[in-house]
Amino acid sequence: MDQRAVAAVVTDPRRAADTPRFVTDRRRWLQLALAAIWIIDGLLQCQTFMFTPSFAKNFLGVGGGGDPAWVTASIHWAWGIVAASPVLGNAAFATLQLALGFAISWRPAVKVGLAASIVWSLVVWWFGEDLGGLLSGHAGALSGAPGAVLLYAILAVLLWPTGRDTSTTFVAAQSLGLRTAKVVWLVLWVGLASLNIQPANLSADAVHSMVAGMGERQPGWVAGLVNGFAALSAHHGAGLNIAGAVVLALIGVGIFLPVRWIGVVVVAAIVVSAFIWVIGQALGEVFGGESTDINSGPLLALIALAYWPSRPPAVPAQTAGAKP
Amino acid sequence: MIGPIWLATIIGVLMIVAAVVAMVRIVVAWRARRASDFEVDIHNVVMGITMAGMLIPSLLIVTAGPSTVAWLIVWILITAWFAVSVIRDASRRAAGHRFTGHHLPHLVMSGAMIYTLVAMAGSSGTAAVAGMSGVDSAETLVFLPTLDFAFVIFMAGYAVLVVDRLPLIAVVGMGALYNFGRPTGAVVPLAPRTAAATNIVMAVAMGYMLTMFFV
Repeated sequence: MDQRAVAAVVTDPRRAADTPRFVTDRRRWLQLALAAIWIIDGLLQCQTFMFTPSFAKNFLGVGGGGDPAWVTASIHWAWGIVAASPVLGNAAFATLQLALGFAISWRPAVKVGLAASIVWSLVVWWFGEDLGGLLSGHAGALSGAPGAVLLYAILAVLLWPTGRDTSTTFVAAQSLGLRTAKVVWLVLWVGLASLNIQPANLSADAVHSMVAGMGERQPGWVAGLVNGFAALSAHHGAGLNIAGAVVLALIGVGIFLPVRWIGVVVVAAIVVSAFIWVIGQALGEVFGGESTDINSGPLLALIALAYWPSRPPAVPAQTAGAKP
Repeated sequence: MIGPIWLATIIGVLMIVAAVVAMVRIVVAWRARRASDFEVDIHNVVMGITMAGMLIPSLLIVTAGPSTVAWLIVWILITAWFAVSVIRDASRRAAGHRFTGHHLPHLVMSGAMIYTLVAMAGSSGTAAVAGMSGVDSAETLVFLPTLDFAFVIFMAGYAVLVVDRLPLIAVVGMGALYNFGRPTGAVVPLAPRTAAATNIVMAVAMGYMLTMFFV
């Protein structure tokens, strides 16, 4: 809606009913949430540590554990470039992420912002997140699989603006169509479930070794929850990961339930996302000065919200006394 | 710790520019008898000066000890003012007024300023090597991390919301944040886009400062 149209509404209330509203629908709110997360990521990228050579060494140079040689080689190549000029490189990273946030939040640039968001997410997923560790054999939902930045890309696709009418479905179906959107949901959640039952994740201390110590330098209540879960998970890694896989798989297939049940599935997905973020990821470990993003929990929750079923359009009620 | 010196300096200069812009808005609106949100502009002037002082220690605006306490008192008063304004807005809204002011974000920003100043006052260091004046560069400042994180989320959310509604703000002022696409009945204030840009810059800069506390 351009400025003249807005002005027409504001200055002449009689035209308000005839002029398109400056709509902020559910999709737009989710786009704004994604934009805000990019802004937060940009701010995290401005931390002192990120401008030092240690950042490149820690975040880009360690990739490759258990990966094919060609993946490792490409990651080390990227690490070499960033390590050569860490200040310039990181300033570019931070600026780009802030720009993505503002582009998505500025309506005329939303498509550019989402498209750039997809490209940048895939670049970071490859070079910065080691493909989310998917090839390492150790990735799991708690550890941030399939890589937080990949979820940014998925979300950008799900929230792509279209004029398609989806008043009886959900936001994610607007861009992809109902069937494809459901398949994306299925692949995501069942994929997470399958990662949980990889052989490496079925050892007795698989969960404990990942969670223990994660609460350090985090808020007291988070540290308490994480440490409590770490204590509970000792020697129960296989059972917990299998139980988690069952829950994730049920959420995945739940999207094919009748519409009236999808809300329950979405709520379950949000609860699981919150559990993953708080207990498994310690709020993305943002405290400590070395975190570049808030990890996958909030992104999973946003994706779930993109599947919240819309209310069907109201059917005009019959007036009293009217003949059928 | 407030991040790399060069980055803190750039953002500090940006804060001075934002404060000057807010000051110019006050003067122009006063001389031309144009409608303006004076209390928000005054808030932005003081916030710009305070943050510039925190980010650029050599300005000696915010130094250790009594100076920090003095700024803290100033911000407690400003926060109290905006708290009253928010209550007033709520009662006006309950009475059916559509334009009810734009004070809640500034109340939160004022609260964030108190948080940062309390963190400074509570710090024991006096060096200003790589950061905020009066704070040892190796010292952690975060004392209520969840609140700190909540402030950061708010600043990011507020910034993207203002950017989203710029076309409306350009016509009806910052009240567009609450009166979506509807006539507000309020007089359009002076240079609404400039006011919006100042608020965006303030929010992002505050988000930056709070994020630097994460260390």
